[in-house]
Amino acid sequence: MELFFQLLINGVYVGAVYALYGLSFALIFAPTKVWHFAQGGIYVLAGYALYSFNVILALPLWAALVLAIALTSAAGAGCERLLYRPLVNRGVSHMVVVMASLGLFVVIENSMDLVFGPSGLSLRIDPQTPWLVSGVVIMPIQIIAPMVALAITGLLALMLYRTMAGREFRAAITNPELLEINGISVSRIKLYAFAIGSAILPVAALLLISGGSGVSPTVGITAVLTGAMAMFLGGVDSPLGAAVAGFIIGIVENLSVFVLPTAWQVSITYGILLLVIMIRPTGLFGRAVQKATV
Amino acid sequence: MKTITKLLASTLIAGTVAVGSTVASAAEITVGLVAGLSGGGAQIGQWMVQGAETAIERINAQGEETTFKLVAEDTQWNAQKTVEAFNKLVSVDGASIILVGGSSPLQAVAPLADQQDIILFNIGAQSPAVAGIGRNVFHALQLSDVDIGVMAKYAHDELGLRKLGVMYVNNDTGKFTQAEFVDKFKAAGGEVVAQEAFNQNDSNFGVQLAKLSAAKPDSVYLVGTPAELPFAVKQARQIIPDVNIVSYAGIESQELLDAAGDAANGIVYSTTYFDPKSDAEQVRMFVGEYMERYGGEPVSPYITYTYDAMTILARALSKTGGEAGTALRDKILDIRTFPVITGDTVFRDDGTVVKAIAIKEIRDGAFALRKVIDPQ
Repeated sequence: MELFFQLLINGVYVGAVYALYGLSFALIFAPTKVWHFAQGGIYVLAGYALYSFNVILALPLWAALVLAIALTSAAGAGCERLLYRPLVNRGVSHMVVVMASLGLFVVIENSMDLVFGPSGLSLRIDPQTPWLVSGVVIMPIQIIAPMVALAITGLLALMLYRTMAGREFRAAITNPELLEINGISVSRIKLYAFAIGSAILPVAALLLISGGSGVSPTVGITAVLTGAMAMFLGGVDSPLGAAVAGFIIGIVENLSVFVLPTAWQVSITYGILLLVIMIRPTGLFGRAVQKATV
Repeated sequence: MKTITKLLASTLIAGTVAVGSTVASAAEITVGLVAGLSGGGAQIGQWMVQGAETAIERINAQGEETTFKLVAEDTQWNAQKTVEAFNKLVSVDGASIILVGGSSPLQAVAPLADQQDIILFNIGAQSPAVAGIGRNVFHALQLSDVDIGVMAKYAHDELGLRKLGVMYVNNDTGKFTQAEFVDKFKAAGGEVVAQEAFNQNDSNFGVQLAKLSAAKPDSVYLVGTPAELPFAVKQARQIIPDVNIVSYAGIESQELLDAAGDAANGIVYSTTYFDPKSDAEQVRMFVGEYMERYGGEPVSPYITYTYDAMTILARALSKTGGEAGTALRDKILDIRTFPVITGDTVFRDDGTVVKAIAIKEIRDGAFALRKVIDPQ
C-alpha cells in the first residue's frame, strides 16, 4: 500500500499544477472562444522569466515570481490585442486563428531555445528535505502546491460569483451579445481573460520546478495539452470545473500506474478523457446552456 | 498536434545552417550533417555541429588540398525527415559525405548511401542494429553492445551493485540502451527489479521514481536526453536518496552539471575515452580551438565523436586526392587505424570501431576518470 499512497501524494501534487493549467486555459477559452495554443509558449516564457529574474539577475524567488507574473500577464494581453483581435476583426476563419496561435507558440518556443539553449535549466531553489511517513516520501512542495492551487481557485471563484466583474465575465461566456447591448465591453473582458489566465502560469511553473524540475524550451506542449484536456473534462464553460478536472487528471495519471507500466500513463489519461466526453460531451461540470438570441 | 508543432518549428525557425568556406574551390567537399537541431534532444545535435565546425575550421586553415564546407540540416531526430535531408544534401548541395546522428535516422538512409555511393559517418547512433547496415557506413563511436555491456559488468563486478532499477526515455535510444544494459547486467549475475519509462521532454518523474522506490533497488540505471536528465537526477536524489545512479555517455555535459548541481555527484557512467587534460598535441589543439570558438570546455562525447569523424575523413581524403565514394571507403579500411583525440580508432571491415572505454564518475561537480577499459 506504500506505493498506492506514494502515487496518490504525487497525483495530488501534479494535479495541483494541472489544475492551474486547466484554470488558465479555460479562463481564456470560455469567454473568448480562442484556441490559445500559444499558451504553451507563454508557459515556456514564464519558466524562462523565472530563470532570468532568479538566476541571471539573482533576485529572490518571490520577486522573480511577481515579475514573471507581470511579464506573462502582459504577454497574454499582448496576444489578444496584437494577434487574435486583429485577425478576428478581419473576419478570418476559426482555423486561421488556430494556426496563428500555433505559429506563435512555435516562435516563442524556438526563440527561447535560441537564447537559452535546448538543455534544461534550474532555478536557485534549495533541495527540500522530504518527510518519511509510514514509508511514504512526502516533500513540502507536495503539500504546498495543492494549497496554492486551491487558494487561487477559491479566489477566482469569489471573483466570478461574488463580484460584478465576475458576473460580467460569466455572462461573456454564454451571452456576449446581451452584454454588448447593455453597454458592457466584451473586448475588455476578453483582454482581462488573457491577462488573468496567463498570470496563473508562472505560479504553475514554479510549483512544478520546486519539486526538482526545471525550465526547458519543450515544456510548453505538455502544459497546453493538459490545460485543454482539463477544460474538456471539466466543461468548456466552467473554469472552476477545469481546475477540479486538473486534480482528477493528476490523480488518475498517477494511480493508473499502480497496476500498469508507466509507459501507458498518458494513453490511459487520454482514454479516460475520451470516454467521459463520449458519455458526457459537456464535461463533468459543464452545462448545455441554451444561448440567448436577439 | 506535436507533429504540427514540429513541422512549424522546422519551417519557421530551424532552417539550414551552413558554415565553412562559402567560396567553392575545385577541392572543396561538401559534408552534410543531419541531426535534431530543434525540439527534443536538440542539444545533442548542436554539440555535433560544434564538433564538425571546430574540426573543419582547423582542417581548412591547414592549407590542405581538400577543404570542407559543412551544411547542417535539422531532422528533429525523425527518420523520414532524415531521408528528406539526405536527398536535399545530395541533390541540391552536392554532399558526398554525410554525418548522421541517431539509430533510426542512420538505418533509414544507409541503403540510399550505398545506392548513391555516399559515405555515411555515424556520430551518435549506438544501437547494435546499425552494425554492418551499409557498405559505406562508418562509425565514430562504439555501439552500445560494447560500451553499455562494459558498464553493466563494471556496475556488478566492481561497484558491487546487485538490485537494479531502470528509468529510461521512451524513444529508440532509451529502449535499446535499457534493453542492452538489462541483458548484460543479468548476464553478470545481477537482478533487475523494476523498469520504468518516461516520455521525452518530461520534467516530473514522481511516478517512475515511486515505482522504482517501491521495488527497493540498490541502483538505478538512467537513460534520457539533456532535457530530462538533470531533473530526473535531482528528483531521484530526493525520493530515493541512498540509491546509486549509473548512466551512459549522454549524461556527460556541462549543462547537466549546471542544472543538476550537487545531485549529480556520485553518478558513474561509461563513455568513449577522451581526456581533455591530455598533453597530446592534437587534444590540446582541439580543446584550445573549441574553447576559443565556444567559450567553454568540450564536455560532451558528441562533440568529440564528430571532431574525430572529420579528422578521419580529412586524413583518408588526403590519400585519395580528394576523391570520395568508393575510393574513400576503401582508403579508410586500408588505413584502418586512426590516432584521433579519443585515442586510436581501429575500424573493422563492417565499419564499426574498437576504442578504449572510460568509466567516469561525477565528483565535486566535475567529470573524473575512474578506469579506462580496452574492450579488445
